[in-house]
Order: sequence, then C-alpha cells, then structure tokens
Amino acid sequence: MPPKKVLLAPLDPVHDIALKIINRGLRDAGYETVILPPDLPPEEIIQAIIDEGAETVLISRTLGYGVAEVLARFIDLTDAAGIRDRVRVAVGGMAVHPELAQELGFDAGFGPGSTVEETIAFVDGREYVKKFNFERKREDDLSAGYSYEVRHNRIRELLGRITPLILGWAEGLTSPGVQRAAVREELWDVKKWRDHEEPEEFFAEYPKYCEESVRNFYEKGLLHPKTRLFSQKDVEKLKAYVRRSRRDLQTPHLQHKLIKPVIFNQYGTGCPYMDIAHIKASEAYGADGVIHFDPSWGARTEGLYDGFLTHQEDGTVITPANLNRIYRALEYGTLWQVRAHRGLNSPETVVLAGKIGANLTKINICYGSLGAGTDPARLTVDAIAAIKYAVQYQMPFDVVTNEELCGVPAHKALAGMLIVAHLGAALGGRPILQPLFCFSPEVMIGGQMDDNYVDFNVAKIMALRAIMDAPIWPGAPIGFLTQTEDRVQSSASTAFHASLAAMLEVDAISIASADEAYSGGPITVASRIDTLRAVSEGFRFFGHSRMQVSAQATEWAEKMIEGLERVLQAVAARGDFVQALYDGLLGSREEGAYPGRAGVNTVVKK
Amino acid sequence: MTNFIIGIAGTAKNTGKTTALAALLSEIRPEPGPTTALTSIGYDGEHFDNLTGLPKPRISVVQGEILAVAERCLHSGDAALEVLQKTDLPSPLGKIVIGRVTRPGQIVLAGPNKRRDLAAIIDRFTELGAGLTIVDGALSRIAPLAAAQALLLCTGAARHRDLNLLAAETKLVVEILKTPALKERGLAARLTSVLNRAGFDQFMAAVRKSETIHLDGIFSELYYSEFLEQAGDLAGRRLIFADSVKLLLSGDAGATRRLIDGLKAKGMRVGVGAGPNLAAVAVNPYYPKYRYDLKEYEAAYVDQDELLARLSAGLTVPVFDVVRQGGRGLYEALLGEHNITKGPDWFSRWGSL
Repeated sequence: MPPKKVLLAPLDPVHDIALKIINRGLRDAGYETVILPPDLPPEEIIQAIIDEGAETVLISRTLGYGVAEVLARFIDLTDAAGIRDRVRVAVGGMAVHPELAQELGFDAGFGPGSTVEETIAFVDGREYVKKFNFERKREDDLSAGYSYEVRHNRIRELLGRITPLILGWAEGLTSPGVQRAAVREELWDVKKWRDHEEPEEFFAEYPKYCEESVRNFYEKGLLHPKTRLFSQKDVEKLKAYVRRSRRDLQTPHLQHKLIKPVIFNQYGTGCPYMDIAHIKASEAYGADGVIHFDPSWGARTEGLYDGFLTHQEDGTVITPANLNRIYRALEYGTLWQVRAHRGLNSPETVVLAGKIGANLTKINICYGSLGAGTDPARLTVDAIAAIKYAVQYQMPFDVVTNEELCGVPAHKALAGMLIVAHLGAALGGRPILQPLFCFSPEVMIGGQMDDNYVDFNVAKIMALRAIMDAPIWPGAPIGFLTQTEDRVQSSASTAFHASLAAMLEVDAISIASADEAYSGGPITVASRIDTLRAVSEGFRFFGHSRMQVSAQATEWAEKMIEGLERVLQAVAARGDFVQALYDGLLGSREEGAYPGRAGVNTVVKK
Repeated sequence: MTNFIIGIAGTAKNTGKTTALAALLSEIRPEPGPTTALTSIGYDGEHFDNLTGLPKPRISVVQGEILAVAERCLHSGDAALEVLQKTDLPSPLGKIVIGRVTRPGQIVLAGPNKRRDLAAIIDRFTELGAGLTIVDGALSRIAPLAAAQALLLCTGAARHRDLNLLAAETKLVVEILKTPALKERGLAARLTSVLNRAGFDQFMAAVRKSETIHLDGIFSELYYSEFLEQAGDLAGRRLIFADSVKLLLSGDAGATRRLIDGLKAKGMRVGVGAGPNLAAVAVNPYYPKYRYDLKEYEAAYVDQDELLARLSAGLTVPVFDVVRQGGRGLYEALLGEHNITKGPDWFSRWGSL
C-alpha cells in the first residue's frame, strides 16, 4: 500500500517551524509529504490539497481573537469546495486544544506539548495512546544487571570477613521491632484488610510489642499529638481529586534522550492528601518515582499507628491506610519507595510496604546508628530482619551515607555503606549504593569544594565503582546544603547536580523540592515543579555530552579507597561490627557521629 | 415522519447563537409535539469561552430530548443521558454518541463538526422519531448548516462594533442567503470549484460554450474581477451555485454582491440549486473587549436600541433581540403557522425554495 500523503500548510504569514519539524518526523516515518510555504490564501491551499490528492492536512496557526474566524473559514471552504469529507484536517498552534479544534470544525487539535508521534497517530487514523514512560519503569529494577562482585581484592577479602561477623553476632537475637514485623507478616492479610475485614487476631497480638503511646492508640483510641483522622468528607474529596488529576495527567519523559538516571522525588508533608498532590505534580512533571518520608518521631517510637491520619509536622505517618491511599493514587508505573532505614520500625515497615505494593525500600545500619539516634545493636538486629523481608517481597533497597551530614568523612561513610550492602547481597538482597551527592560538613571544613562541587562527588562515584559492581543512586537529596531559600538558585543547583549525575551514568537520583530546606512548613508544589523543570532543562542542555574527569577527582577517589580500606581493616580487626559502631570506627563523636540511644537494651535472645 | 431541521449560524464568535437557541427552546418546550433533537457543530454550553476566557451562556436540556454529543461531553454537566447509539463518527472530543435526556440539567453540546457527519446524525435522529432538529453553529462556520431547512442568522457587535458597517454587511449576507433558486436551461456544464488560475481558465472556457454553469463548490473571490473583465456579453447565461451557503463562502459579501450585479448587467443570472431558507436574524449587542493594560477580555455592549433599529431597516427577514424580546418572534419566524401543534408539515413549507 502506498504511503499516505500528507499536506502541511501554515495558515500564517510567517510561522512554519512546527510544521517543518512534523514534516521531518513524518518523512522519517515513511510518509509522503508536501509542505507549503507560509502566507498562501486558503483557496490556494485547498487547490493544493486537491491537486496533490492529500488524504490528511495539517494546518498551523498561532491563535488570537479573530484568527479563529480565519481557521473556521478555511474549514468552511474545504467543505464548500467538496473536499472536507475525504480529507482529515488537523490544526496545530500554541493556543490549540481539542475543544477549540472541535469548535473550529477540525478533526483534531494539537497544542503545546503535542508530539510528532501524536501527529503520526492522527495521520494513521488510530487513537493516540500516550507512551507512558512508566510502562517501562514498572519493570525497571534499578539493581538489574549488577553482580555485586567486589572488584577490589583486599576490600573483597575484608568484607568477606565482616559479613559473617555481623551474622554471627546477630544469631539468636531478636527485638520488639523484629517481633512486630513477624506479627504483621503472619496476622495481617492485606487482601482481607482491603476487603474491610478486621484483623482481630492481629489487633489482639500487635499492641503487646508496642510502647505505651502506641498501645494507647489500639486500646484507648488515643492518637499521637499533632495527628488527626481524616473525615469521610475528606476521603471523598481526596478520591475526587485523584480522579480529576488522573483525567488530565500527562507524564513527560524528564530525561530527554537519556534512559538514566531514574528520578525520585521525596514527599512527606505530614498530610497524605498533600502528599498525593505532590505525587501527582511530580508525575505530571516527569518524576519516575517517589519516596515516602516518615516523621522523625516515628523512627523513635516502638510500633506503628493505624488509620488514615494526617500530621502537622514534617514526615507522613506510616500506617496501613496512609500507605494504601498513597499507593492507590500512584499512576501505573510510578516507582514507590517506602523508607524503613533508621529507626525502631524497620522490619515491620518493610513488611507493610511489601504487602501494600512498594517497589523499593531503604535499609541502613550506620546512618541510623550514628546520625539518626537508634542504638547500633538494635538497628543491626532489625536491619538483618528487614533485609530478609526485602528479599521476600522482592524490593531492592538503598543504603545511604547520610552520616556524612553529621560530619563523618566520606571514606568512613562509604565503608559503612559497603559493609551493609555486602551484608544485604549475602542475604540475597539487591542493595543500591546511595552516596551523599552534596555539600557535606567534611568538605566545608576541608575545602574540597571550594572551587567546584564536581570533583569530590565524582571521586565518590569513581571509588564505589572501583570497589563494587552495584547500582548507584546518589542522594539524598542531591545538592543538599548547596540550596538556599532562593528557589531559582535551589532549582538551578539541583539541576547542575542532576546533570553531573547523568554524565556519570548513575542509575537514579533523589531530588527534593527547591524549598525543602527553607519552606518553614510544608513544601510547596510550585517549588517542586521549579526543581523538576530545572532538572529537565539540565538534561536537555547536556544530553549525552560527557565530562572529562579531572586529575583531582581521580586522586581523591584513590585516597577514598585507601581510607575506606583502612576503616574496613579496623572493623575486621575489632572482630565485632556493632562494637566498631559504638567505638567510632565508622564515624567518631569528634567527627559528629553519636551512637543512638533509641531502642537501647531492647535486643534480647529469642 | 418528517424531521424539520433548523440551523443557527453566526457571523462571528459571540454573536448570540446559544442565547438564541435557549430562547427558541423556551418557546418550543411548552408546546405538545414531536421529539426535539439537539446537536452542535461546535462546542457550546461551556462555562468559559475557549478564546477569551469570558463566561458563556450554558445549554439546558429537558427530559426526553435527544442529543448528539462527543463522548467527552457526556458527563460535562448535571444533565443525565441514556445512551441510545454509539456511532463511529469521530471528533476531537471522541466518538459521537446519541442519547436521550433522562435527567434535565446543563450540558456541553459538541457534536458532529462536518457536513457529512451532521447529515448522518440527522438521519439517526429521524430514525429515533425526532420531529424537529436544531443544530447550533460555531463561530462563523456555516457550511455544515447547508443541511438545514430553516436558518437563523445571528450577528452583532462581536462581528463589527461599527453599526453602519454591521448593518450594511448583514444586509448583503441576507441578500446572498436569499438568492433565488434557478433552474438549468440549455446546454449545461458542471464544474467543481474555481480556486486557482487553471480552475478559472477552465471555468471561462465553460462559460463561453454553455448556457448554464453548475458550480458544485465555490468561486474564489480572487477571480471575481477577472471574470467581470474577461466576460463579454453573457445574455441568457446562468450561473447556478449548489446552494446559497457556497455562494456566501466564495468571498467577501460586498464583493460577491458586486459580482452578482456586474454579471446581471452583462445579462447573466446567478442563482442557487437549493439550500436553507433564511427565516430570521437575531442581533446581539455584546462583544468581548480586549484590555491591553490587563491583557485580558472583558464584556462590553453597544446600544441595544440602535443596533436593533439599524439592522431591521431594509432587511427582508424579521430581526430580533432575543434577550429583550424573548423567543416568541423567533419561534413564529422559524416554525410559523406550521408549528409543532398543527402538524409535521414544515418540510413542505421550507423544503422547496
């Protein structure tokens, strides 16, 4: 069958760029096209349609009041000339949308954001099915293709000694967190819960392993301060909001022509309703995944609350209903990470996230122990259980080095990260390395970023790649502490960090809203959009261009590996990973790392 | 059963088509009679104008009325429809669906936006028992409304704020739409359209050889002057447009009038084969005024009395300001003594010109 003939005509005195772009796309796709010059009278365009035997006509015009009449007359002339019934005619322009196309008498209208693919679908006479990047992303396993082989011989030998030390130490130990996770795993059936079947056995057993404030909720209905239950009216409004958002949602590919990095956006406003608004905005502006941020008190509380709860502080409370509402608001394919990494509810959070449908979680020992206030022994026992649940629910998990934000030097933080990652891989997990990719106290004091933010961050990635074949997801968020209360500056800085990460071909990045550090309350959607748009522009600007790694970055990477090896040697020599945490081998009090107290003395023999 | 078709055309956007439709419906609905069917070749009844952002009149429908709307309009208001037929006719807002109103209320009316599809929908309406179909127009588009038997023309300040200019133009448009029917005589030639040089040369060759020229499409205004210059004695010749709408669309109404007069002076008669009967004109004092300081439109009005008086003068059809006068006059003009209660004989009145 001969290719369909398409005639493209600017019904405009000068503008024809968009038509030229579409013309190229159509020709590349094998269509025969005729493109007319600007400023022809409608009659000549119609005659050309007749002479060329075009089956499809694409008209472009920048709209304004009165110009609608020009377009309407053009359509009327095609009708009066007897060709309207045999050609399909579409209009494109900056102010065009389907309602206007209908009013003007066209078969379709293409406005800003329309793609060549959309036009080709119209030419083919088929319904345009938007290519949701998410279709790909749902299958995106950030850890796919990585072997977790430790490439560095001496470090491989050291990690090979440390992992059995940890597992041996934890053998026969348990904690209230591990016990709650087991109760959640065994007695809480998500399907029955979704069918409104009350898990009576679970409610009878679960509070036994919770602290008093949480027991008070289950037994007396007392909520945590600054939280309240959503009303039925709120729920109905939320459902309507999600329906409306879905109807108009478009999901651009933020990375331009790149496949990686996958973009994660953090949320955690305290209110799941607002979180969902942030998620919908993130999806609409091209984020591939979102990260659930829980409140800091949640990490220090033994037990999880229940019900659909909003919260007047940073971080959104982890409850089955909160997670479930958020999960149901996600577009198909949006990757969803629920953090479980730093506190007293790690294993149970992994179980809950896995049952409800999260794609990823976050498990950590060193940061939670040294920078987030949890007892090292407790977190080690809990993290091992959490990793096993992550394996069961097939959730890759990232391991952060946010203790750098407390002042721990990069080589020590990276050593701690590699210990947990190696432990995770040994247990069958799929850990993702999440080095800090920002302005840390170490470099503020040491001056490594006095000239640029590039070399030291590059050095971390180079060092990790030289040591282990594992996915890398810089965070969290990238550019942290380079951002200020100036939204433009913050968005630009985030975009530069994102572009650097893309040039380094990392697997994913976490970005925050431009106002995250300075909002003085809940972050705003406008700031979030600023950041996503800026990141998008960064990717558009650099595309596949690559940077030259500096001698300085190479030198720092080598020094990091040397320092990291020394740390691992010290941990292995100590013969006790947990004691090494208490003793400051992975970050000392002088550096700003303090072993946490939450959950102290709660580790018991099974 | 006969289905009588009324088309509501405008000379521009915001000339009061939807307001006239509402006024007409308010007169039709209390009368016992056959089912009324409604559709639009544009996008009507929306909250705000697609271009100016100003509020628009809404469309209300009542129980039992049959509508043809694009899928995306089915739930556009509080009116509820029972879907009777899903057609394969496409539109930018989805396939056209035919439904019967089961709960009165408001709706956005956006139906088939081209002539062939409109004809197919009217056939379906007829099959479903509609005795009266009203087709709301869009902007200044008139071509699909050639399918109507009675035509209401809406014009007003949104077309021209200069009332002299508006009155003169309206008079010309009415005259062209009222161009009398003409029958073929002698040797006849049939051509499609005159759009370019080749088409014009072909047309002139036909004019020299034939007594009657049938033009199925349009005669572009670009060749009006040349036609008059090149044509010698045209005594006894006839130029027949398929319908008055095509004659109107050929060019500016004033230029078309001068062409017709010029040809008449050379002995040629210009007529039409068929077409809708222009039954009334409705005038609207409203216009969207652009505020350059605010970069937005605001509602503005010309003097209503002067508008009605100026446009009524010298027209051969009745003129109404439906906002002030209501819809009774329109009803009488469009349906007249052959109204719904007196029998379905509208077609015999309006069907032949």
